[in-house]
Amino acid sequence: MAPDLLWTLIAFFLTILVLSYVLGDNALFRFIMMVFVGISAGYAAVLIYYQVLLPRLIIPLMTVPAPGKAVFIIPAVLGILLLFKLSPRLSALGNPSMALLTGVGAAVAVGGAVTGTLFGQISGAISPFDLAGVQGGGSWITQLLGGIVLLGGTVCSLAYFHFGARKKDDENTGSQPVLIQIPARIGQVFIAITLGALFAGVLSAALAALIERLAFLINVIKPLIS
Amino acid sequence: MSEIICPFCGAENPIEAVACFNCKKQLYDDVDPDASPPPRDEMEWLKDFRGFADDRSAGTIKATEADQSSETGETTTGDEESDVPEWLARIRALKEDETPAPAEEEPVEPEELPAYLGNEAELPDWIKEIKQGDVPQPLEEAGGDMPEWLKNMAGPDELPAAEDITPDLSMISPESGAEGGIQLPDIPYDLPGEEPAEVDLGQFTPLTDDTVDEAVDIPDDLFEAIASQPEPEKPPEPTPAEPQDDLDWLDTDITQPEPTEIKEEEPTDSGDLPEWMFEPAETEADTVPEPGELDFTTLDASLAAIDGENMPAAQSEAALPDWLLEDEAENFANQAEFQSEGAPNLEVGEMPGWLHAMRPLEAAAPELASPMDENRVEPTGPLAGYQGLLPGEGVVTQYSRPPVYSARMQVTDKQRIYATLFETLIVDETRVGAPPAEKSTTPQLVLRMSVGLVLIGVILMALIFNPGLAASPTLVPPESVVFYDTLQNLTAAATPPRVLVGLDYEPSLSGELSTIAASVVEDWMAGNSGLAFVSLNLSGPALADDLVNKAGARVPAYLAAERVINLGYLPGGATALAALAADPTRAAPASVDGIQAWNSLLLQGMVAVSDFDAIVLLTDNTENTRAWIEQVKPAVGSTPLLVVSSAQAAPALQPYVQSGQITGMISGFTGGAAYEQLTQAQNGSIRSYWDAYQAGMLLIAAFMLLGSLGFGIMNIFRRTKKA
Repeated sequence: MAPDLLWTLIAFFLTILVLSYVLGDNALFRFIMMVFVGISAGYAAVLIYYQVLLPRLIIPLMTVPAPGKAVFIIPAVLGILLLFKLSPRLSALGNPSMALLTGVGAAVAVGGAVTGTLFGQISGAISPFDLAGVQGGGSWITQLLGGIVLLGGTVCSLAYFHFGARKKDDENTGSQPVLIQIPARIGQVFIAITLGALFAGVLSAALAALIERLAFLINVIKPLIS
Repeated sequence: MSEIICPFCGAENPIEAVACFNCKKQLYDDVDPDASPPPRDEMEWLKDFRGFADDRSAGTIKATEADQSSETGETTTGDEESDVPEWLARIRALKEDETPAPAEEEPVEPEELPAYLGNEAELPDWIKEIKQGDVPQPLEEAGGDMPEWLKNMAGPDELPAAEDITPDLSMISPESGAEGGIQLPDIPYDLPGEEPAEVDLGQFTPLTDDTVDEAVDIPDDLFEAIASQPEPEKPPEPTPAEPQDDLDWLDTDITQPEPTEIKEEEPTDSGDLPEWMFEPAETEADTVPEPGELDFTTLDASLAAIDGENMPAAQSEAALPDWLLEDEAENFANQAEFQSEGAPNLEVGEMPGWLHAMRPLEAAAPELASPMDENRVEPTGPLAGYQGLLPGEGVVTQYSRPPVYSARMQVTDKQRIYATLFETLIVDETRVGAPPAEKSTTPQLVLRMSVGLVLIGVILMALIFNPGLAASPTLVPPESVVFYDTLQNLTAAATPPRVLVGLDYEPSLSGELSTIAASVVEDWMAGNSGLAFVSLNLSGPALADDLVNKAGARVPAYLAAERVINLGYLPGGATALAALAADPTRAAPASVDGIQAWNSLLLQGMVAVSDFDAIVLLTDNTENTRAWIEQVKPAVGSTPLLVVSSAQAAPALQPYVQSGQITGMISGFTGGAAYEQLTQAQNGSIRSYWDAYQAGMLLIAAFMLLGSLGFGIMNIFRRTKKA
């Protein structure tokens, strides 16, 4: 039996067992879930050793001359300290490593968000109002309307998340101002459309995955039948 | 022989001189002038006395000394008695009365001699000679009758005659001393409780010639000096009753019993205890007061109390000193006086409620552990016999009930109002209604199974029969068009483009993404593009290999081994992307196969991400896509960023497309179908799935519509029933 055919049959049965979830949660489905988790963990461990630790830490420590080893000793020590997080009693020893990871990660994320997302999105919100460069061959009116809808939808969506209220004199409860209530209502519509689009995208992605798996099953069964 | 030089006249004096023979002044300052040594001639006599005595017969010497002692003995006795305290004199007098007179051991009187001594006819010849001559004879003269062994033992000059021994015995006896005989200074007459007669006779009966010599060495002038001193007054004779009283304390002192308390407190098994454990008792026994200070009434009272049941109290009271007993008595007297003054005028008061609530814990506790007895004696264990030890077992065994606290809450009216308001707020939450009827899960299970089975059936039918009913999309999204134009422009260039492909999708969505990306990768391969795969996902390298293998199967002319390099997993997320944008050669130095990627033919000469002709991102994750946009896009400048995304990530990535940060994008099957529509691909994978996809989407839309209608109708019926 060819290896490809063997793996194809294994994939076929595993797909059947996963699709058994249509009949409800069962032992076969849970078994397959555990198999996938175990395979993923083992694969990840082997991959990290052979593609991260070995070529990026161990081999340089053994081959690089002494002055350059300090560059690799520091991450090695920090990595070893990170292993102490497994012990509740000694987890404090891993705090320096965690502090470094968190600090560097936060700094990189904040810097990228400001320069990549915040400035980019502001620029994107303004660009439709640049009538000098009409995109897509449309008219300037269409571009302007699109820009207005986009800007209105952004402002209204932000207004929806304004939860402040002004307290009335004769009542213990407060209410939002009218200038906030109306955009919040409009923003709620935009948010619903966005969530609907996201749900449709998730459903579409899942349907595509299902179609691909069913096509695989058909492709496996069809030669056997014919 | 050394000499002493007189400090006054410089004359030389013998070593034994006390005063200078020239100037007659004292040679020593601490010498009593009255006790001046005898003159030179007398000292000469003392020196020659031994030799003289050797020449004289022992009987003569003893007779002379007896005479001298008879003259000075009374004086000596009187002097010694003057130094004896009164109580000792009384003891001696009493003992003399009680003990038989040592005079019975005096030399045998003539009438008491045995008959053979009184009858001279029966006496041997040598005794007759002695009695007739009355002169001591040397042993040499009488040695003719002595046996030879006796001669050797006695010696010629040292053995005195038998008659000389008898006067010596009388001389050294106490009785004779009292009457004027020689008083031997070493006899311990002042020892209490001992009889002098026993000591004296037992010790000096075996008289030797040395003893005789010491007695003979006493100079004559010494007796004269003693006789010249005035006779001291004799102590008054004690009455017969007084010695008896004095002897009582002597008996008490000698036969002093151990303190009763210590005897009672001694452990039963004393043999197992170390010796130091008895030290306190011995100390108390040692600290018995002087005989004159003993209070027998207190001791009797203590003994009587020990016999009764109040033994500890009696012991403690007996152990207390007098001054403490007096202090306690005064305290009791003061208390009684205070009570007698204030009691008649005071009424029994009632403790107010607030004071009752504030009283301390000891007062509120119904029963407290009994206080520790400070006089408690440890009965057992290694500390047995000690007082005042901290109790060990008492704390554990003695139980006292915990105090009872009041559960009533003292609140003000304002607090009560607030509590009432709070109770009204939560009363609805705390109200438990009737449990809802348990709904059967069978209809839901059947419905869910029916939906799944119907969907799978429809898709299978569409895949199997592929009717081709679904029309290809005619409206292509602008980002898909840009994607297509960019790819075509790059692959149409003279030099094959080198593209960095970021692969960030999970295997669960590989069915969608690999299907979409397959068409794109085939177009890149058709343009002989160099592809460098890198992934932020652990499964990315494997998915990249699978994608290349599938796409390469469709483009046989493409040399994947030369034009494709897999840089593998890039750990660190957004930080790794920042490092990749800064220096890709250090962020991903080697390929999955261990080859130095940046020295390979494909990537040779490239040092930055911007050296790539395009960056293609295959993703199903919005966060990772945003990280690529935020970290890598600013570093690549005008290099196009093309995204092939899953349908679920497309809505979140659309703003980046609108802002121009994403150059072109293909999302989902819809975008893939549009891209194939643009490429005019006849055997595209998307096309084979398009009918099933459209059927499935239509079916899902139908289910959603039917479900909405069904729940709407059910709500209408419910409202009708309620109305």
